[in-house]
Amino acid sequence: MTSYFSILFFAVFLPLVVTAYGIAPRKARWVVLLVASYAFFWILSGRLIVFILASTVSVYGLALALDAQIRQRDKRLAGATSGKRAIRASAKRRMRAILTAGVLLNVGMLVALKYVKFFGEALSGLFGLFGHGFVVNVPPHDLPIGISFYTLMAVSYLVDVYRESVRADRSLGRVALYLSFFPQIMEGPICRYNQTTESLTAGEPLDRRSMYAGTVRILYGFAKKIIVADRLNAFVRPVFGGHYLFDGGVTAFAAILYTLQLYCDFSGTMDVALGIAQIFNVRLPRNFRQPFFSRTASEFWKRWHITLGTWLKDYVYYPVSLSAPCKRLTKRARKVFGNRYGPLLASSVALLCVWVINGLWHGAGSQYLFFGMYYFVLIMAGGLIEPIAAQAALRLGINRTSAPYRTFQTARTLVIVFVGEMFFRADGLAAGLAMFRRIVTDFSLRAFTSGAIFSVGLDGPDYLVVCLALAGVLAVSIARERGRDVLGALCERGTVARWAVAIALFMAIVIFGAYGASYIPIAPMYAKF
Amino acid sequence: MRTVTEILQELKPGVDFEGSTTLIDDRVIDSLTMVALVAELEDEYDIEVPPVEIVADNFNSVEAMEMLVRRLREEELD
Amino acid sequence: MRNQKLRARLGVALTALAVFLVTAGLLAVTSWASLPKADAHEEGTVDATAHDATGEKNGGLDVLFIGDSEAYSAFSPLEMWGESGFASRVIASHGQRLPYSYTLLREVLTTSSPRVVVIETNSVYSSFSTLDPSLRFLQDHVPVFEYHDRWKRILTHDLPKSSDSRAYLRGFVPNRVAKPSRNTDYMTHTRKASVVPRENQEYLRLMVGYCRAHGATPVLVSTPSTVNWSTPRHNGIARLAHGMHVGYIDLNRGRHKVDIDWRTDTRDRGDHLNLSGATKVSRELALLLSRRYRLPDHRDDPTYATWEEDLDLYRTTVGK
Repeated sequence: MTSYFSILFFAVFLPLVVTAYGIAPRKARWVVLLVASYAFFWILSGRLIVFILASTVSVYGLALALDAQIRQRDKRLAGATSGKRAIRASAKRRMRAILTAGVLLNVGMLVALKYVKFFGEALSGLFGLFGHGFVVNVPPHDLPIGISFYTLMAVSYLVDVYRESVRADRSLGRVALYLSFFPQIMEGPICRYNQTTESLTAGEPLDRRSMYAGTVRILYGFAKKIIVADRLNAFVRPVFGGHYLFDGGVTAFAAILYTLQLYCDFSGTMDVALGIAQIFNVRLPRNFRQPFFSRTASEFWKRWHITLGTWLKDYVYYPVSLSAPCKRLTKRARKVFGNRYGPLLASSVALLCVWVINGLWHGAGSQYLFFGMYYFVLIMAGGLIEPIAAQAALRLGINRTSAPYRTFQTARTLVIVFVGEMFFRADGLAAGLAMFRRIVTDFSLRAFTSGAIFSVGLDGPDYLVVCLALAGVLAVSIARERGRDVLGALCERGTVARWAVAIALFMAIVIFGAYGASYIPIAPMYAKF
Repeated sequence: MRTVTEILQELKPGVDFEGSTTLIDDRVIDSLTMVALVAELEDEYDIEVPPVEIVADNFNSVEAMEMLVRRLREEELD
Repeated sequence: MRNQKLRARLGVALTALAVFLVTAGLLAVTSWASLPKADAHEEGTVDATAHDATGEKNGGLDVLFIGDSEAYSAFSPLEMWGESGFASRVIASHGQRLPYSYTLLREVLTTSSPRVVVIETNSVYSSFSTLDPSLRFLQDHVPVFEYHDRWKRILTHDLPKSSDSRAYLRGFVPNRVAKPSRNTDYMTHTRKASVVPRENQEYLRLMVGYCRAHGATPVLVSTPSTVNWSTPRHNGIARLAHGMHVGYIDLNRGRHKVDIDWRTDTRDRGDHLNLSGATKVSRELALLLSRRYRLPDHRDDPTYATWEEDLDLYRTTVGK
């Protein structure tokens, strides 16, 4: 078993956990989930489990240390008649030290495991530049699953305790469950302590509605991944792998198909994760909110991988932009550049930090850094141009809320996204640049007119299935964009209708799924983070 | 000392802040404005706004912001 | 009160049973519908050519070639017939992994008894997710999981399928495009040996054992490829072959190196051979196999008459 998308997981592991959960007494149910989560982690990563243990124990212990400081401070404040500021300041200093230690330790583990090869290569390159043949050789190693996700969660817990918006948890088991809950360990969503711990430990009994809703959600997500994403891979892989063989038209098409593949893979996995959690009556936050309806790049990142965006906003953007040096910068900048552009300077520094981290979090490679910078530049440019664009529209009499204009905005955003994802997927930055150049200089539709597009990896029937499936996804997305609770509405239907939908999804997966000998299997895309 | 409303008007002239209780939810105040707003509030009222207070509940309306300022000032005055 | 609870529980149980039965029924129906019929020219799964071997009507099969796209690009049964007169077939599909090769092998050996089974070595290194074994179990027992892709055939049923007219090629997929490779010294000497993943070794062992149990001699062959082959990979296979006492022929180097002109003989810069390269490989390999394993020459045998006809067709349409 290497991921959720395996027969063993759905036919053996999950039913076992659900059964154990159902039989267990209420107070013990969270323990079932904890044991299951660690068993899952062990099956997938074996001895690397020591890393998540290290993270868990460290933030648990340090959170308690912070709590001790807080209580001591409050006691002193209550008894003091003066010098309260000093008491607060000294407590803050000590708490800050504890927090820093915790963050450095956990982020350090992540960086060491994930990026040491990248740094090793960069160092080797540097040595090479100076003529030294010294090569920093990092032996290939496996990463514990979900390290990029649970590290962020661990840091958020510690920071929340520091900010006193969360009380330190005295139960190591609860903290462990929060960090390791198996539906979310592989690809997120990145949850805050406040969001999930309560429902995780509540031990809610299983109920038919949640079990049905969860099952349908799992089937829907599974279908998205295995019918669309895994199928599109047959086209995406050869084109990105041998991009020099294809013209600009095919390359552009591959960028589009890859974006769709990534969306179906990732959002499909999210549906599976949320569905599994729903069976246990645990509510995980959404990671996607119909991202392709976005009208700006900035909006896109509030609709795609939402929990990463909010994490970066709350734990990088605000802390950096509201830090003392940045605040001073803002004040001075406002005097020079005015109200519109003044704060932009400090927030651009914060934004730069956000995008460097976002880029590198996705992978240890220069193309990921490029990916981050790409969006940084675009979003900054968007912010700068905004007042000018508003003025221009006013003068030209363009209604920016009209349907045609909004369509233009959406189309423009889609192009930005497709290009961004192309760089993301390319075999390195050089390949990405070459592909981009080819789209611009060697664009042609001849692959489409000659029918050659059908021999790259997908044939006619494949495209048909993809179109039909995506049409279905689009219909559901439009409904949700309008605020309709599609799944809820389905649950209100009669037994026959409900189970007809579930069985139909299951059979669609069996028949139209891109699995089997002729398809190259791919692990869920975000799982290597 | 300027009022909260006056500060807001300086940052985003022409916008009506008084009537709304969903300034954050409706993105009238975006993250960019927030940074400048917090800087101004801290300066004007000699307070420190910790990041944990940067939540919708505290900034969705002028009244909420005034309450926040009051509370933080009380804490500072000891 | 108790009655209500009981009714509710019964309702749940009945619903569960109904759902289970309906699903099982649908799986059974679709399995039956997706099974390929026993006819030689009936389609298999996505790759018609890979499943054709079940039913070689023209007399027995002498050699079976199994592998991935490297195999179907380089081995031409008709060319080999032309050279040495033995009957062979290529059972290969794009990206084919060892588990599926093993299934196909077992299928073929129920109706055919080739003397030699050639396993192309590129797929020996191809990793497959460990999803495969449990999926394999399902696929072996519930046909629709194996043949689910045949819905495509149903869609294109009325159109003259090119795959039909290609059946006479017996699994070979010719391609005349020439895209040169510049990496001609890809077999530089080194002692390093690539590691064959453990699961792959397992499957290879199974295949070798199965061949021997059915009177076929397994042989490992590496087709020329500047992109996929290298000396470390050679060393890895050589080691494995030695351990399993299986013959190994590497067409990239040494005694059996085929004189490939990397400017004209590859269709995708050294990844796969094109028709010209395949012809060279097929001729030399045919001579080698025929000599080493004492393969029969059926060229005067009337039961293999269709082979001669197919060869004529081959010469006129495919060329060379």
